[in-house]
Amino acid sequence: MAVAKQLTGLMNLGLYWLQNKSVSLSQTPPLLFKQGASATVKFFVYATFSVILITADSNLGFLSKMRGAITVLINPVIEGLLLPRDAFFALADRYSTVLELNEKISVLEKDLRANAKVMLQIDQLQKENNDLRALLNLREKLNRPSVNAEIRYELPDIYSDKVVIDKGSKDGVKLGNPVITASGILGQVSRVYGKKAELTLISDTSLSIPVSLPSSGVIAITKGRGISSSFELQYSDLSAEVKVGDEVLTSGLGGIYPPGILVGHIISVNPAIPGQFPNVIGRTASVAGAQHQVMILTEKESSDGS
Amino acid sequence: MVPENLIRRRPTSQLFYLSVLIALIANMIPFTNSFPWPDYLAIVLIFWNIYTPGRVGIFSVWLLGIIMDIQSGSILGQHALSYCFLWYLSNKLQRRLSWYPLTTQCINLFPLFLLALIIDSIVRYLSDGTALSLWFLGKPFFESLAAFIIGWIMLQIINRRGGSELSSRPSSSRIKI
Repeated sequence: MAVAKQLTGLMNLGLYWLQNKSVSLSQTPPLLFKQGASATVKFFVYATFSVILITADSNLGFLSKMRGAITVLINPVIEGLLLPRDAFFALADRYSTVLELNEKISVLEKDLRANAKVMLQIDQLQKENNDLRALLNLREKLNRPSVNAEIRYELPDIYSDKVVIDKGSKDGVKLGNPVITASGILGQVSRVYGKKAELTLISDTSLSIPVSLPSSGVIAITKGRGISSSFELQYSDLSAEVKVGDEVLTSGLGGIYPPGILVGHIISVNPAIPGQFPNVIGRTASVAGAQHQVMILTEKESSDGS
Repeated sequence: MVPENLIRRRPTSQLFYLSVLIALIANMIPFTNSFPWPDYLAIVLIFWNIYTPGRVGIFSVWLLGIIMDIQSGSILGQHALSYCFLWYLSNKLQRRLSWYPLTTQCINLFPLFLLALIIDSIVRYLSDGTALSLWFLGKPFFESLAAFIIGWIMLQIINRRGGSELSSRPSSSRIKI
């Protein structure tokens, strides 16, 4: 009993109402003399404290360790909350009908046959490319190692567009790694924990990717719009003829993203007002959903010594 | 006539902790972030702050805000600031609000939630330049609706009848007004 009392006392951080258990909460009047500071003073103290924290967290990086530690503590709770959903997915997978599976298998076999031919060609081209690059004394294109991961859930923060994946620094994921899916580029790793990492999607307002439009030869930068799976092109050429439906590929200029990966397609173009950039909006090729498989392009341990 | 929510039964401390825990867990369930889900934890804390004035400490409110910040991946102190703000305003309005019936209470809470959202979005805009779409202005509305539902459930639990008659109940749980 004494231990329990101690424990409740510990849990009773700012709530000092457990002190007299036998008296009803609402029937004990507020304390007359031992009131402490007034509500206004308390509010301003804690508000100032919050503002200091906000400033520190958005400008300095030293709070990330504390965040990581608390995330480790909270993680089991979140995983526990995801259990019913995962169980549902597992059940649905288990009881998908034979017909569906057969259909899937036939589609996959078709893909495999089609891919085998392309793979053979790619193999030859790769060899040829390497030989030519060796002839021209070019640095061999890096085959970047990658980590496969699964999207666990979307972060509940309404201001950003981020998802959490099930691989972290223990699997070699590093801050800033680009993330791709089968259909195109998805985003960038923006926070790394031990066994988890946060991805910032292209549609997040804080993420920009250097891109090029092969059909019109425009080089631009994407910027998320905060609306799911959509982005706008910034600083695109004034005289460029960007059309709806144009492919947007990564240009590889920043050095983070490998060149030539599909980002999305243009869905609307508002011509420029004289003196301003045209307003070009695109739709991302890959969509992040629960249980989607993604690939994180990690860096080689010592690629350039940089 | 004294409104029903002023005729007070005894909300136990277990009920308080349980309700806060359930609200915290409900907030942690990762739904999609493209819908303005109400902040259940803020609503429950406001309920207790109005129902049992002066018992909910600002430190615990602030700490719960920090936990929410870390869980939702927002900037540290963002939820904490808005929770402290809601705590302060509901503290100031408590004497007036506790005389209203639940529906009027929730209508009166609407501007509080709206102000909290505005402060929240200003903080976020200043710190990393992100802005919400206009659709999220519906959040305070959903929050006051949820405040009504949560408040009704809490009052049902607090005011539930223990025995068949008043006199048949044990003396310690008898109503004292």
